[in-house]
Amino acid sequence: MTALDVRPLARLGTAVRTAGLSHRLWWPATACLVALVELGAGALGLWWVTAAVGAVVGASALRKRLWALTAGTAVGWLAGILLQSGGQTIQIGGVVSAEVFNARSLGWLILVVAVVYALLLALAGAWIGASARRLTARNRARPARPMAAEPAAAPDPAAEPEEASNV
Amino acid sequence: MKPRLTKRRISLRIADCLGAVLALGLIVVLSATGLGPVPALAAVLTPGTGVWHLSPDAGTATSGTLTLPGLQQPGTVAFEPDGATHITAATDQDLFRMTGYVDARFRLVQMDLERRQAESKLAAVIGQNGLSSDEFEDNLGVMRTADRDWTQMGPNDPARIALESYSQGVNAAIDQLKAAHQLPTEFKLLGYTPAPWTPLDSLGIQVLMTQTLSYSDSALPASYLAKAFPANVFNALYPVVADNPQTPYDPGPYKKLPLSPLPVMVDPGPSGPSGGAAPGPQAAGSGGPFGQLISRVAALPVNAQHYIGNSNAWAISGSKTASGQPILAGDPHLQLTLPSDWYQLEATSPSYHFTGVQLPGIPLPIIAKTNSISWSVTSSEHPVTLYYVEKTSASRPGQYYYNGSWRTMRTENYTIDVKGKHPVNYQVAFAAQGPVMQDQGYTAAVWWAGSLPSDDIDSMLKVMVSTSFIQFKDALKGWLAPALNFVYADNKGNIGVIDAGIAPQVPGHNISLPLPGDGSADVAGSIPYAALPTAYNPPDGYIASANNREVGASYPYEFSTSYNFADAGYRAQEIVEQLSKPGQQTPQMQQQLQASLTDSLAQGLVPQVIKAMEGQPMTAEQRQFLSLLSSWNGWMGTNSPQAFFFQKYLGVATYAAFGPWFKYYKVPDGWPQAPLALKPTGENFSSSILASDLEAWAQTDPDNPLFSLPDGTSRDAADVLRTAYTETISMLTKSYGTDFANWDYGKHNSRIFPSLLSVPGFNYGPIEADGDSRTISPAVPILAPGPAEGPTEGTTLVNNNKTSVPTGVVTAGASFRFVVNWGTGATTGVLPGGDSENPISPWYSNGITQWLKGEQQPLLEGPAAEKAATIKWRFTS
Repeated sequence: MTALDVRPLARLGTAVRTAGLSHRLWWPATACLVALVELGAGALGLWWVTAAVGAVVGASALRKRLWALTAGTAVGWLAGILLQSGGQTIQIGGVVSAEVFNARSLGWLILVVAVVYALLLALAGAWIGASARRLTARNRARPARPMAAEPAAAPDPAAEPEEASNV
Repeated sequence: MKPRLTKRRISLRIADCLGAVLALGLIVVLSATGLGPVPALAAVLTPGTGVWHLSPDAGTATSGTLTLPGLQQPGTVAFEPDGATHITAATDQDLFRMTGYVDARFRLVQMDLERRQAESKLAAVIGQNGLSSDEFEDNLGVMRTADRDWTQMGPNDPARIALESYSQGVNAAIDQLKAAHQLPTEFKLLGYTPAPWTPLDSLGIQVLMTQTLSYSDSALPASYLAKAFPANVFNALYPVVADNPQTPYDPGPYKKLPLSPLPVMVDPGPSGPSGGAAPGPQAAGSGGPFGQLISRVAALPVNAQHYIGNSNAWAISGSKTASGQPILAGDPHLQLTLPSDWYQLEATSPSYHFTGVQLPGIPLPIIAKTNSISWSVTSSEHPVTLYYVEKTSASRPGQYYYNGSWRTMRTENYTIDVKGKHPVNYQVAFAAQGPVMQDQGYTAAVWWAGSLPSDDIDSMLKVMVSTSFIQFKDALKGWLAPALNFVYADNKGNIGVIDAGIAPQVPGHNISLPLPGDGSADVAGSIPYAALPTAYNPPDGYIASANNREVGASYPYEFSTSYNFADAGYRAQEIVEQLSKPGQQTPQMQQQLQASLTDSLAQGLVPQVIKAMEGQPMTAEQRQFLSLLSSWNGWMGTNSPQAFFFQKYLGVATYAAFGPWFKYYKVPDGWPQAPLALKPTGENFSSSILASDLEAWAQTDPDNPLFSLPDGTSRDAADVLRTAYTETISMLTKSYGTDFANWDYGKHNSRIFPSLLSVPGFNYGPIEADGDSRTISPAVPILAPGPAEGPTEGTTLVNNNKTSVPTGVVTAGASFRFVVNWGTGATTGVLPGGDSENPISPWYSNGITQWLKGEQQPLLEGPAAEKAATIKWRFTS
């Protein structure tokens, strides 16, 4: 394996797909996992975890991974903000907007900025992850349709499943 | 077919990767350090460590057990539902520790910004906007003074012990807030964490407060008036003692004693050998010798020099009270910022027990009641800032002429950090009398009493354990600056006052004007303590101090003048009038008096106006309004058209009376903070003095030649008052119509309680304002950081009138009201603000409503406080 070998992650995606989990459920499940991780990391002030999670998700071969990442990040950060601010989210945002924008009524905008910032972190990480995956990808054969009576060829350990790239 | 890894495909992948790295790099930089005006986003927006992490002072305090390292024994801090704070400590040092902790928990931003201002470190966090303040403080030498004072404190000095204990408390709070990621939002937005607190920080804030109360540039604009007018005209318009009735609390007889020694230069001066060239002479025609200096001062934060000192304090002897025991009433006047300058608390330890107010950053009360005594303070407005005009020469750069020879100015170099820019090098030059407060050309060395070695903290510690006026007065011998009238009442039936503080003397020279710097007018000494104004159990049964001149005209020393910078005395006049009425005084009457809106000048002048208009032909509006004026008692209330009329009338009348002489003698326009040219509207450096001249002469000297015109046209007071009346009615009718309800004072004057951070969204107001600079409850315009027109969001005007309020925004007034009744030992008070600096805290501005109504609440002590407190912090070490 090279240092940037992301094949295990790709195999994970394959394994998840072939494990029998309905394909409609895996991305919400991923989103929940992302949200939980980022909720915990945000509570500890570990903002960089958002980028790291994005990198992991971006490097994976999961379908609809971007949806999962953005939904999970938004939920995770929003939940973290609401929990930390003890019900005074908009008021706290108003203090910031008063100092930054000279308008105390724009507290909601600060909340939006925070979530957008989190999404940018996550997507920047995802881009890195996907880039790394693409950079290390070799030519991959599309999986052949099963044909009768042909002797099975030895599986090529270097082969990777082809998939549409959407990052 | 398998897709081939073509060169193009590889290039695209590399470009893709580079793009991703750049994007991530950018977002990481923005997160970690910020970029340009954008703060470090992670520090601001991350849920657990950013602004969202609820600061503990965002709500009321919550009960619990807290640790305070260094605490000698367990202690408690109890809070009433409105935030009233009660500290109980088992040792004296613990008291200061816990006070430091409480101050830091609720006022850390205020304390940090104030110490930065004192230490010339504002620009390091707020950028270029703070540079002029930093340069000024380096120039004035606040920290040179604080450094020297700290160095001179011995290891067993009670002041040193108090300051060190206080610092421990502050640092305990800072450490806890940092560890919990709960520092106030402002630190996260500005991108720094507060440095540990040291005693030097407290001393810096103390010197800064001294600067606020006593550093005055009145001598400079006065010098232009003195140059413009002939001596007889200047002396008539700007007398030593104002011509309106005065009420000095020390009417004499006076002692003439030898002066106490004072150094020629009180600033500690440069710390090392001088280096570098001092500024050379300024090119001629650049606004006069003080033009640039005044402009620089004008650009400073509002607390950098004395703009308001209109405090009141009075004491009533038991012979005049219903209880038979003294009453003390005090209300110090400052900018009414949010948070307030004050923190109100009750504090108890083995040696000390007081209820009063302290300045966050300094562990001791400035106004308080103890078990035995009580005191409040007013500024003693005599010159303690002397300006020396140095003789310089273009052919001798960096030199000045002193005592017969040319001398080289000593210099000290400072480096000022400026956020986002390169550090700025700043050089301070010193002449014989002090630091040179000028950039180029004309130079003025400043002798400022605040630079003297200070024993203020030791003095206050002694005051806190005094049990008699003799001990009280003795304790204040070491109080050098700011000069304050300490008004006193005790539980043994005594009242008194002492004007404590240095009063520099320069025999043969007028210290109210700039002095020659050639050595002929150096400070010779101070009025000795034994000769300073004082009173004790006066026969009249009361003592009143309201920044008026404390002594009569026969006082044998240079003291305040009408132009530098004593109050004309109208508040004192009203206080004395009320206290001298027959009948017994009660604490409730003092609360009402503190909220009085009677303008004594109006009471004196308006009858003269009415008399001048008798028998004169008038329009319907003039006649109608005169009838209204006849029934007016001088009350400057919000619903009073007469009050608004008078506010405008005074400017018009003063201009009508003296404007021609200002033009005739070509008085220059002046500068933003000290306009000299007389105009019919707007405040002016001489407004209050000329108004008192007008009122006094209208009553006692109506044929004064200065009422006539320079061209010889004869006029008297009645002519002037008449002309001004018709002009004012015409002006108001044209602007606001003939419906006098539109002339209501409150519709044209508004009050803002400005945010200390100058964030308009944190202001309270605008609301309709009442009062003026002469009412006991004053309304003084200093600055309006928020919009002057229309209400700020989140506030409503008193009458829900959301139309613009375009004139007269006031931001200063009674920053605390306090009445002590020694008959019962009970104290009442109100702070126009709250304990917390956090705008979303219910303790941010909760005192304002009560303050606006003129009400006060009991300041509970001891068991009563214990019972009322609903929140408790138990401290362990």
